[in-house]
Amino acid sequence: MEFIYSYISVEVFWSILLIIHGLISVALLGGLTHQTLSVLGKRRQRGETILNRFAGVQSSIYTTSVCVLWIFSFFFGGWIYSKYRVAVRIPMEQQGIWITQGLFELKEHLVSLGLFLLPAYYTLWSFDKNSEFEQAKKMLTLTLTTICWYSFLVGHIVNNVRGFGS
Amino acid sequence: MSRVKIESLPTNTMCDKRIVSSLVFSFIACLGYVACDLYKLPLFTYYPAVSEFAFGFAKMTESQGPAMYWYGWLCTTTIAATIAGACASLIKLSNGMNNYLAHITWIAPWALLPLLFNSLNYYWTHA
Repeated sequence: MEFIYSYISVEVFWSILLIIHGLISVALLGGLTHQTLSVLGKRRQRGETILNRFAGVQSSIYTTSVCVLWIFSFFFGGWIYSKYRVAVRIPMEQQGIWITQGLFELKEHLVSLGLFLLPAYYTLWSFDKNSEFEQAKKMLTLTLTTICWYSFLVGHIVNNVRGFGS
Repeated sequence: MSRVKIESLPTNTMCDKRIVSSLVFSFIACLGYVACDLYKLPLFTYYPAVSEFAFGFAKMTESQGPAMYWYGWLCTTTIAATIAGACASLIKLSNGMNNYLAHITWIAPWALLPLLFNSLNYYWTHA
């Protein structure tokens, strides 16, 4: 990667990766939230309220996008994590920001579990018409959405600890 | 007269195998990941400060800086879960068992959450 640093600084390079990671996460969050609200409110009529419109989507169309976005987000997150371990975590330890670090480590564990749940998630959604998996599929989607929201918020908090570009 | 129980979907053997192997993969991976974390079982250790690797679990050293086990845990878990998923594809389960397995799979991360939370006790008590 050294050749990149002759064009842009190290800080700019990692900031670009962090922004890409963040943008992918936003898309993932949107897709998963749409899908979850859609499966939770299946009996709700399509209506004029913003919630009904948000939930009134065909839930199965998000499945492949969610899997692809989760993998890409995980890839960039995993890449950034090596930099975080040296450039962010050590200063945070020196400043005694332990709870935030713990929440972030928990996020890493949860997104890993989420990654490993993707084959089950994809398969259950592939058999969309098989109603016997309906409840499990709904709960699995809700689990992934919860992980995604938690990770997004904690990632945002950790990013704000030292400020953008630091 | 005995009644014949008609099995609902999936009727296709390939579909059935795919469901079982993916559910078993996900379930075993969740268990395996937490086991790797608790029992320190990374396939390798990575030293991000010097971009060096060591096989298995290796401690932090003065010259190499902090050690990362997360990548190693992911590899160990993926290998174990892939083997389990491949073996599971040889098993034929009833639809009821498939559904049971599907429920176990989404319950697993919630059930394992206290263990993960406890493994990070260092951070909660250090504050």
